[in-house]
Amino acid sequence: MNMVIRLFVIIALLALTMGRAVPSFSEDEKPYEGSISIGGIWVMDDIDTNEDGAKGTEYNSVLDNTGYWDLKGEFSWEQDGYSFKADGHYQFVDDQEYGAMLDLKRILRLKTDYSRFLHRLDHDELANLEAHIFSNTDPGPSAPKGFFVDMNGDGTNNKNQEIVGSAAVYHTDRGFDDEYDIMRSEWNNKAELMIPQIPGLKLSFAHRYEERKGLDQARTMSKCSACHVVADSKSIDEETNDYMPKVSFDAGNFVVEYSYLHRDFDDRSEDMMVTYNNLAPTHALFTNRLQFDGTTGALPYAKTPDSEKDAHTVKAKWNINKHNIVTAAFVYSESTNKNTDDPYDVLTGGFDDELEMESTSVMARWHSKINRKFSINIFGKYQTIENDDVYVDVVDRVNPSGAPGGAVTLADGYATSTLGAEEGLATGHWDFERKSGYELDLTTLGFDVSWRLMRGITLRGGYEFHYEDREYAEKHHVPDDTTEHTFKLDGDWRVDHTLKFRFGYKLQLVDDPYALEEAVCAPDGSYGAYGGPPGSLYDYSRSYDPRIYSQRVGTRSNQPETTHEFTLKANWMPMTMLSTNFYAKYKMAENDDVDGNSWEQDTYSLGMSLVFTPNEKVSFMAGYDYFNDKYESMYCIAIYDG
Amino acid sequence: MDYRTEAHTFTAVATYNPLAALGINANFSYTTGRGNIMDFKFESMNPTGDVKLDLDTSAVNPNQPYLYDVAYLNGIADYSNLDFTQMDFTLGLSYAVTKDIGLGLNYYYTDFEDDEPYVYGEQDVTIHSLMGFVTLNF
Repeated sequence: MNMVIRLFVIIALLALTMGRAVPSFSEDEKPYEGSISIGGIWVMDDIDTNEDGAKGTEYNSVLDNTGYWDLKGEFSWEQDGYSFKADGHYQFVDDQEYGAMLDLKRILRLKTDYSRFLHRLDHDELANLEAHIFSNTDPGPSAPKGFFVDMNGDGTNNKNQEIVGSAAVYHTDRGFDDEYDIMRSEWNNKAELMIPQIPGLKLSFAHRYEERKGLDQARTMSKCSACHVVADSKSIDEETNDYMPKVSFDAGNFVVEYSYLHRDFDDRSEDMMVTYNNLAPTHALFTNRLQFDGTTGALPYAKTPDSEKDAHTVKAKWNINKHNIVTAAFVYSESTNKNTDDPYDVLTGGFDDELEMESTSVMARWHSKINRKFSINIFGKYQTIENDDVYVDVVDRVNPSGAPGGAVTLADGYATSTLGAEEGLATGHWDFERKSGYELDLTTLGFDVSWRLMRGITLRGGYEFHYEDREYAEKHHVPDDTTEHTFKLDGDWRVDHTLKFRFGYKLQLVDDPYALEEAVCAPDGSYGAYGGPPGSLYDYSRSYDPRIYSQRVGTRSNQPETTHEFTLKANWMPMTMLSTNFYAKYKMAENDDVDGNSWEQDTYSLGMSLVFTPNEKVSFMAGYDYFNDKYESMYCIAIYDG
Repeated sequence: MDYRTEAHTFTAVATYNPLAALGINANFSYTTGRGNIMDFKFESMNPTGDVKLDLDTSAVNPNQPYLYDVAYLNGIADYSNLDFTQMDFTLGLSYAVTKDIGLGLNYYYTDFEDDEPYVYGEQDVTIHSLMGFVTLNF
């Protein structure tokens, strides 16, 4: 602290001296102006980010009990049609902002800005993920049961205290001592060229560079072997580059613009690998139907694929006359997953080909001002999205030979065969072509009107129709299509020069909102009878599919069928020194078209603010905001062993 | 079940220039937030026809008295609560030594209290910091 104060005093004295040394222009003739601010920030506490959490210091870049520089500067210069502006702020290596703009007689304009900040993250210690039932018998050759977890760390299997059943959860935090934070930065550059000999023509090129670097927590979980949740620290290194050339031509009543976007996302983060738990059989002769477990070896997790996006956009605007304007746009984009072209391996995401998604959309809007009091907008949009199919070669686990007691055939109650072989199903029977759930056609049509009823009162109304048609709905157990109708009504009322109101109401009605069919237990409350311990390993009628999964015939959705939304705003300025604002919003959403209990959500928010400026020397502002949300729904949990 | 969230935020800002060269400003904000699950009710029921949810399995395994313990399931609501308060206060002084030179001093205070620490542990933190600067206009 003493060092910072001494530094501050020295800088103040230097500044006083420099202030006298700067050559003086008169205010009127000076083509430039600027300011420099030199300071320091000192944190008076020693924050232990390991113990004190990230919530209150989420965006604080400086937390150590030392001093840091805080430097700011601004500069602007303008002369004879040329201008230059720059500003900057540096507080810490992870807290900086800069910007600059150069304008050459409005022919060439260059802009750049850069910002960087630190985002502190929580460390989930997973301590709540620890619940297990201990076996009551020693595991033996005839009844291998449960899973050994070395609870006391002595390296010895202490049987009744350390054999957990497969219906158990426990955690391992491999990065228990690490602190997590991500440095985020973005750098934007833009160049615009307007050729004086071709007025109306504008060329531009923009580049955006975004970076995320730091350490975050990655998590994954074993299954069918106790739910073992594993967390580890992952070094994050991601960058995104956007390149955007654009050309536009303004011919007075007609303007057209073409732009192209190429986006590259590269993930150079650490590759995370984990060896999952082996299957924990619940009883003898329990056959292994997992796609992977510990016997597969280390597998990747928490991976973000590299991707690329190319988009072409054409926009046009036509001022037909002083009352009518038409705008239209066309967008075509391709997004590509660049990591799926590794050699085919369903467990590592290699599918021999880069998977692509294509989107094509057209939209148009017609604005017409019928007269001074009445205007109308009519609009429409059509979008189609297509995705590549993916062939999934299901891993055909083969039961190991040498089963307990030497059982090797179905007659013995055991068999060395692939899943379903005994029912006559050939190897590969379970393989399938994954049809994407993002094969969609979306149509939107609507209109809105504005009517100045009388002096001080304006009413606005609108209707929008939205239709989604899903190509492979049946394969994903979702509705074939969804239809939405939205009605809006709002208005402004200026009572007098001191008081005005704005009110609004929106009603949305949805037919077949997006839902998961066959999500939960039978809506009539009946359930599948539990098959009990298997008599025959391959008695399909006693397996989970018919007894448990197929009993889920109830539809659930978190999307509303009906939504009502009310808004009110008021502004009152009884005198020039006093201004008050008030707002309130209520939204009610519900869905009665689901099986089981219906759900309803009520959300209230309101707030007020007051600004009081009695004179030039004093100003005061106070505000209050309130938020309340209540969500009533059904809670479902899966309840079967494993 | 019901899931509820509620938040209140109070803010106040004041500026005072007792002299042409001297400015004082203060910012205050106080937020409380709560979230909780209510009416979580699993009962002794028959999810699979012939087997009760809380079937007595103590004879099979004394370490597992019930197939599923509804009391524990319903207890989820008790350890899913969120309750926090955050207060932020800033006080700033600025003084124009001359038309081109100014001095400034700012004090920042943040206090975050987590009254339902569970999943992420204790989240409380208090932080004070001081910033001083000299500004030169040209």
